[in-house]
Amino acid sequence: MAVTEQSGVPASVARRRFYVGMIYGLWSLIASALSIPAAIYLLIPPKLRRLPEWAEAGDVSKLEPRAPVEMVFRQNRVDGWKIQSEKTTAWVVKLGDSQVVAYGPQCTHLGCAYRWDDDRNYFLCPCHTSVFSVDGAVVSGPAPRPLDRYEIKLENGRLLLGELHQSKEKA
Amino acid sequence: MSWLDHRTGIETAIRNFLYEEIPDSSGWHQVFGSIAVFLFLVQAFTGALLAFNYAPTPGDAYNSLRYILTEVTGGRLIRGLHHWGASMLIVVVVLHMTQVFLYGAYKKLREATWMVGVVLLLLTMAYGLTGYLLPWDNRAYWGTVVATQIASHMPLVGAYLSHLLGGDNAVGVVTFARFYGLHVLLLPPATGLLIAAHVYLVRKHGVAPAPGDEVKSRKKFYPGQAFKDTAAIFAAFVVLFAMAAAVRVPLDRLADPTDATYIPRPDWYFLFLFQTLKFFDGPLAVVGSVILPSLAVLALLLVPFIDRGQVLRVTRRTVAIGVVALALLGWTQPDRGRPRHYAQARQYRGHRLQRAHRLDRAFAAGTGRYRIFPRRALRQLPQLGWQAGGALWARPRSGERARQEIGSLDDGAL
Repeated sequence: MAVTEQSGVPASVARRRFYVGMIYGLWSLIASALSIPAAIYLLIPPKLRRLPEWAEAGDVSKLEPRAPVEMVFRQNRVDGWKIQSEKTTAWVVKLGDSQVVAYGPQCTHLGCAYRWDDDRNYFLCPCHTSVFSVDGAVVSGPAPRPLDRYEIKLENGRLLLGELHQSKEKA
Repeated sequence: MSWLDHRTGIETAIRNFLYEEIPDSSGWHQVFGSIAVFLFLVQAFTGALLAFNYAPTPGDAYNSLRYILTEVTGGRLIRGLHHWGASMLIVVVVLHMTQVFLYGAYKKLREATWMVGVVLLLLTMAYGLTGYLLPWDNRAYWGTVVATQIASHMPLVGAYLSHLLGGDNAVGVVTFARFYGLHVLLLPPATGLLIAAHVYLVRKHGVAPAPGDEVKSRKKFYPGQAFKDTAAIFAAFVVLFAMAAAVRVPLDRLADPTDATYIPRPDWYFLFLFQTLKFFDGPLAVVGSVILPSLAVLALLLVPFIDRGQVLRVTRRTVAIGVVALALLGWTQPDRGRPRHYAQARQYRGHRLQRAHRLDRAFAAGTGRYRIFPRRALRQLPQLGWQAGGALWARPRSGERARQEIGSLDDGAL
């Protein structure tokens, strides 16, 4: 049997080692060349198309202080390859003389729609009984943070809503 | 024997699979089947990834594909892999078949293996046909219009096929759903099953020996031949990856059923069928569109029963080599030496072609011998139907480059 000069390993064994090493090596290269782009493709969010738009929610000049009103408006939203014009709501409340706040319509716990309870003067989520005060803070229940707020602009008493922002505070 | 093997037997199964005994003459010429299986798996993988960001309806398909190409990170690469992988799969399947044919490996006892292989070839082409529609650009739309029309002209079954493909009135939502359903739901499991049957039959009869193998001892598949298969798969993958990364796949304009200027052409591997159509007019058209292709498939299926001689050394199979050479010529060079084709095309394309000629001359003047077109000229081509232009420029050397320029323009215009 032929023997290689340096190592004293028979040539057939050396060749076998080479084969096996190459099989593992090449398949690892192929697997990574396929799985890394796949992971990038699935995990990195697509380039965002910004919609610098303000949606008009309604007239806030006649709002009673600390009495939230649900306003329905249409908003354009980037949804994958589409831009959807969809019906959205906001809970709008006048907190002070000049301070108007608009809350996103979903509970910060698991996204259920909450309602304003007139009798008890708080927002109640029916799913898991999270309770929020009129200024959006968590009163009780599992909600992890205060209600999300829209960016707002006021023009002659008309309320314009921008993006929805999560509160940084913890409950 | 490990814990896992006692419970599942998987290690024994893998060992049995890898330590198959193969003839001494086995070698590099037998790697193509493995490459084909590998490419099929790449197609399944990239296809699933594309499907995660794709809406299979005429209203959304084009936009979602554009979204994959322009907004999803790595989307262009994944689509490139799927697109070029399809072409490559066709090439490799044909190479595989050519090897088996040249070596006479379909002879006695291996007839069924060959026939299953022919069906797999047809399935591969069916992917090409159904996948062609899915981008829903002009190319896809008009190509499919022609394909469904051909199907509807088949004798006896034409009307039923037309119903089945949803192409009764026009190519629309129903056809789209049928093609997509075939492409992603029906064809893949069918292919998987047939590959399993094909591999089972290969194992049952063993890899075909060459004359002289009977006096030599057999060898194991692993690791010698497994290494050769792996190296060949790797080489094919490097080419595929390079193409996907470097060569842009054009996305045409959105499908426009009112576009009378568009000249539909099938993908390159169907061009020979496209050319066959031109030889037969009027009532004979069905000869070119249906009868000849059907006879060709039948002949292919019956190869093991037509050639029943002894297995010979591959270098002595002169008739087989001749058949392969002719078939390859006919397949890859369908445009060569066919003045009639050009005459018809000219007539058909009418004054659009003359306009293209004028553009051609005007812009070629300043660009040297390669006739690469300035972007300004290219910008006008979408209105012209770029394939009309592309056909004109199909000269040696200039054609490919011009096509690439056009391809990048199409993408840039998105």
